[in-house]
Amino acid sequence: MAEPSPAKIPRLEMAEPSPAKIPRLEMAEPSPAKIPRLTLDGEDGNIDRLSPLPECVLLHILSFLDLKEAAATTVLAKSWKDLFLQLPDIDLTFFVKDDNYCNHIRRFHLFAMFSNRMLLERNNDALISSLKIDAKHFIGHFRRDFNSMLSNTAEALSTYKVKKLHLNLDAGNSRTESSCIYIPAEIFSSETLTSLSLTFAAGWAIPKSVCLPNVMHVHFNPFRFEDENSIQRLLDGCPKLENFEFTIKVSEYDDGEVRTLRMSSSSLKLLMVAWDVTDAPEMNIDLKSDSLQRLTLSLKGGHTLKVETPNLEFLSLSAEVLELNMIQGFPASIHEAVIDAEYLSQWTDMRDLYSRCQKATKFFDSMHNLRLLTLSETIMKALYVASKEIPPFENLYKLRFIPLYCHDFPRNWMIQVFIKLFAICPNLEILIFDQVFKNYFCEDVPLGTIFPPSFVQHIKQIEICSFKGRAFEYKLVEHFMNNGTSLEIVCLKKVQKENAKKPTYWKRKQRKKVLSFKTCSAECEVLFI
Amino acid sequence: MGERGEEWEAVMLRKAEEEESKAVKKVKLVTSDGVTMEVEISTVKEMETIQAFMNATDTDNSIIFPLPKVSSHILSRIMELMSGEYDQELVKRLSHEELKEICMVANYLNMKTLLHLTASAIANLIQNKSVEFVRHFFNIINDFTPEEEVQLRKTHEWAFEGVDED
Repeated sequence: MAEPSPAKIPRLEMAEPSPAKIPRLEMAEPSPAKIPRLTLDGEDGNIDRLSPLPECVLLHILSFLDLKEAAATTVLAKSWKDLFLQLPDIDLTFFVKDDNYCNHIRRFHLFAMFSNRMLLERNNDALISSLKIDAKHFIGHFRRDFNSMLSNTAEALSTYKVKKLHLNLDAGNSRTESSCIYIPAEIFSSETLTSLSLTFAAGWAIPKSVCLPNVMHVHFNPFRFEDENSIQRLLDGCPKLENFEFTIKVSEYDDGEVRTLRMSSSSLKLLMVAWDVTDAPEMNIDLKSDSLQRLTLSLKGGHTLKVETPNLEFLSLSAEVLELNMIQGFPASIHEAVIDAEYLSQWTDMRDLYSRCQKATKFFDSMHNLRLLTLSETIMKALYVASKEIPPFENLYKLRFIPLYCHDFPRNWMIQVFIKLFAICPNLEILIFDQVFKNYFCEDVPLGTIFPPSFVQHIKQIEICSFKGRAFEYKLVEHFMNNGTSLEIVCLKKVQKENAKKPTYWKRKQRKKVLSFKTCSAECEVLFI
Repeated sequence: MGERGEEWEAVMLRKAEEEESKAVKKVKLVTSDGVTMEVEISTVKEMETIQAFMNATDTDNSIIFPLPKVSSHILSRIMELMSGEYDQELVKRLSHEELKEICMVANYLNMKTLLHLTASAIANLIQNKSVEFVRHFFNIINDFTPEEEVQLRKTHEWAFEGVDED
């Protein structure tokens, strides 16, 4: 299969079609931008070769520049005057650099003038792929200019078939009258939008009619939850919505009538709900979705959750939960969970306490297929109190503990939870402690009881994330190195203090101590990080 | 027996030729200065304009493509960049004129990686440069009157804010 031998070449040429039949490449001449050329430029002496770059190439080049810099090319020549207006990605950002307020108002006016030209004066066939308007350091005096920008944005949405829209208003520290800003309801009716992001404290609500048939991503932060049906109305108006993130803010003026967040969707794949309030009201959250794969809930206040997601794969829950009902398919699809939930806040009497703990453990029933699990101390408290047995995690191979101190729960109770938990994780391979506390293990319970040989022999990796070099930490490491026949990695990380001038290094003595431990695995490697 | 043998030989030969033409199928590119450059078909894959044309004309014969807009010098530079897997260092070594021409050819032949690379390299070169520098770089003659230019700067004051006057 080498190149044809020279002798054969004539034959190949004979086989070629007659000149008339030679396939010819007919390419349209690229439309040159009408850029006058310098004819008396001696560079390289080959100026004749040069043709002007076509407009689409120039736009490609401008797309790598800041919008302001791209816009400055308007003064190059007449042919460049409106070129930057055709850029498909528009990022309009305003911020202030000093404390001169009068100057800010003038600058914002210039910013709005420029933005409005970008939104109004482009060619009708120059579609907009993404439009981002970001007004930082917003003050009330900007409102007239800003409202004009917003109404032009709404118009541009349909004229230029915008795909991605991102509106951001940031008032900084000043408690501005941002309520005098109105986002036109038209942005909730667009055939072309695929992505909508609003980081706008006020001035908008989900309108009565939502029609975003192509939207796949929605992001609201904050979202003012004033109308109980608003979220469902949005979900109904976005039949292709896959990725939905919002942070709920309940404003102080609200009378707090909204008590239920109901969500039902057949398209959602990822949902993230967060609460941005200190005194959140108690709420019912009712979620139903066959399509949902990843769910992250960071809630505040006590909530009653009902989650019916038979195809969920990932759950992250940090919340004060009064009650959580998980309805899962069987076998359960969920294989990764981060549970940092406080089940037991403000319990009234012992009966209440026990009942809540039973509910907390019941929730683990739907998680028997977990492969990765992260638990905080708060949930472990419930596991301690509950008398109900958790079904075994046969498939669990990675378990991580994060410390989150909870009241009324001495850490030395933890031993009981560890013993209970490790007994039901027969195939665990990776064990991670974000932090190890002295009172996790008390003197009179030998480590061999908490971590029996049958458990330790499966472990391939043990990790301590903030290793302080204390005696009980060494003891734990030594126990695993002495008994871990499958141990491959011991990973010890030093805490790096924030704002520290120098990073914390491992002392030779500390390394030496760990390395002196007898290992019963040939492959064991110790990492000092 | 002898006849049979000859027949077989002919069959084998034809088969070998077919295989050969499949395996080492080459494309001849004829540049604006009349140089014919033979390149492997895999090289042409990235040149989507040519590729689309080849898909449309199903031919087993060797193909000749005239490239009236591309000089042999630029084509060989492009081959260097392609074989160097578009190394940024190679791009930095190009002269301004070469860079612009390659960018244009990349657009003409619809070579996406090369277009992206050269366009961003040009953007880097003109970034934070004076209007005069950019005009010179693109061989542009300013056809505005001074009054028009002042007016334009006023209209786009936001864009010129904080920019030093040339």
